[in-house]
Amino acid sequence: MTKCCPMWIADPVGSEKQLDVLAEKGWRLTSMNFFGVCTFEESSPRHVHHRIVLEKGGVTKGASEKGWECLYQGKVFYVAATEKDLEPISYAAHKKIHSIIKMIFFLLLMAFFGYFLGMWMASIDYAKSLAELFSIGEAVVLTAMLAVIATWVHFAVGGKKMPKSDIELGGYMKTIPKENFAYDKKTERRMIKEGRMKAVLKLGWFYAPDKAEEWVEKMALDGWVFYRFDPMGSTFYFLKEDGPAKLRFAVDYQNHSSDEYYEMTKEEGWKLEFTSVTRTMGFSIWSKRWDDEDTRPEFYSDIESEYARAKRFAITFGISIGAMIPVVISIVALYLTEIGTDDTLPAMLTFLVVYALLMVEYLVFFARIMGYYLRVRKRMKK
Amino acid sequence: MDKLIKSYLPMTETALYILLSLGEPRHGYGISKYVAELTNDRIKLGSGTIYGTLTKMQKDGLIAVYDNTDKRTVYERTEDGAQILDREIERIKNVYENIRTVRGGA
Repeated sequence: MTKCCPMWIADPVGSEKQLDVLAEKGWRLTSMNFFGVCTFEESSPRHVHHRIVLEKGGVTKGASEKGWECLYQGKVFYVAATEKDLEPISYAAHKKIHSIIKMIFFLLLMAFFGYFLGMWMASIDYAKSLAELFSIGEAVVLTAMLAVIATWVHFAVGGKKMPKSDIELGGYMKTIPKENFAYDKKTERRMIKEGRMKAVLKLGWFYAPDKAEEWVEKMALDGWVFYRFDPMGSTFYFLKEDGPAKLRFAVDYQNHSSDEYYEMTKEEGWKLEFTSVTRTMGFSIWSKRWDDEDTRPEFYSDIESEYARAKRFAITFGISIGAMIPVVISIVALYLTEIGTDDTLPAMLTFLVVYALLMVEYLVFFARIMGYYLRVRKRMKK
Repeated sequence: MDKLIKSYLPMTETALYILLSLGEPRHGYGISKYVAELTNDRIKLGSGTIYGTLTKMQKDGLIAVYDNTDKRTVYERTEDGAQILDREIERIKNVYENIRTVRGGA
């Protein structure tokens, strides 16, 4: 029998359950491809659990010893099954699929947004010259078509199916401990008024993570102990304690962080304070209390790994922000040369101010990223 | 293999101990505990260090996933990993012998 499930990749957990159901009916999977075409052979009905794993190696030794058998081994993924009621094969592999897909949709949405913004601005500024290329009507139709496609893709794959699977894929691993939300908003406001809590907004602080670590640790020594972040990770909340406290604050950046990463770090006694909302920014922030008898806990115990982190960080953000700088500068320059030539002056001035601010912001962030990278490099060369 | 030798040798102490401890299957936290025990707490591997090194070594084929049926992935050394480790041990032995030749005695 051949069956097609083109969207399996967006909902691996649901697809595994479908395979379980088919096995109960006596259909054993023999092959499966990325486009969702699966072939089955008739066999005796079996009560089995399936796992689709995005790894090359096939069923691991440990899994095989526990009773997992490989039903299909592809070039990039394999399908395993077991009759026993076993601990499932880790979902880390599934998360990899999800992060790749999420990244693609994020980029698609950003491209669409950028395109739409460009169209809208061009229609204000350069309506005359643009009219030579597109008519406004055509631009609107094109934009609407893109909007429909993006919305469809988002809801068909991203919005509807993914979150469901994501939770089942062990999203709990990334939850922030409840103690970080011990007080409700009202109590927090009262505490801030009474001077028992402090909220400090620091925009773009993560572009110089080492400075932020130093600052939070110094705050703890002054009796202000880190309590929580706001959902965006820009505002730091501190609680007043009676005396100085020793807190190690560690900002980590990983391109891929699996369940294992969170599990292992928690086992080492670190408390998760924050994870970035999107997987495109792999930040996680950890803290650990220590006292005089302990040595200061290190998240990176050797400078080579720390340098690797700084390099990873500088490449990812340095390129993305660095690439924006010439774009913004040229837009600002363009506005400066064109300004005051016609009656679109107010609109142009507004855009000029927005872009000039954006330019300054990008320059500052870029300088901070490079500063951080160079500081770590200097330490390594010592 | 030559490429691997070039990128891993001489090995950092961290990489050496991680590879050494994976003679039998272990997970990240297990490695950290084992290395601390082996070195009498002289080396306390940080989480970021272990995770980064394991990811890199897995990518380069020095270690492989032994068991992924648990929340904690268990790794073990591969043939390539064993070869690289042997080369490093050979190098360290050589360094030690050279020191003995120059300084004499132990």
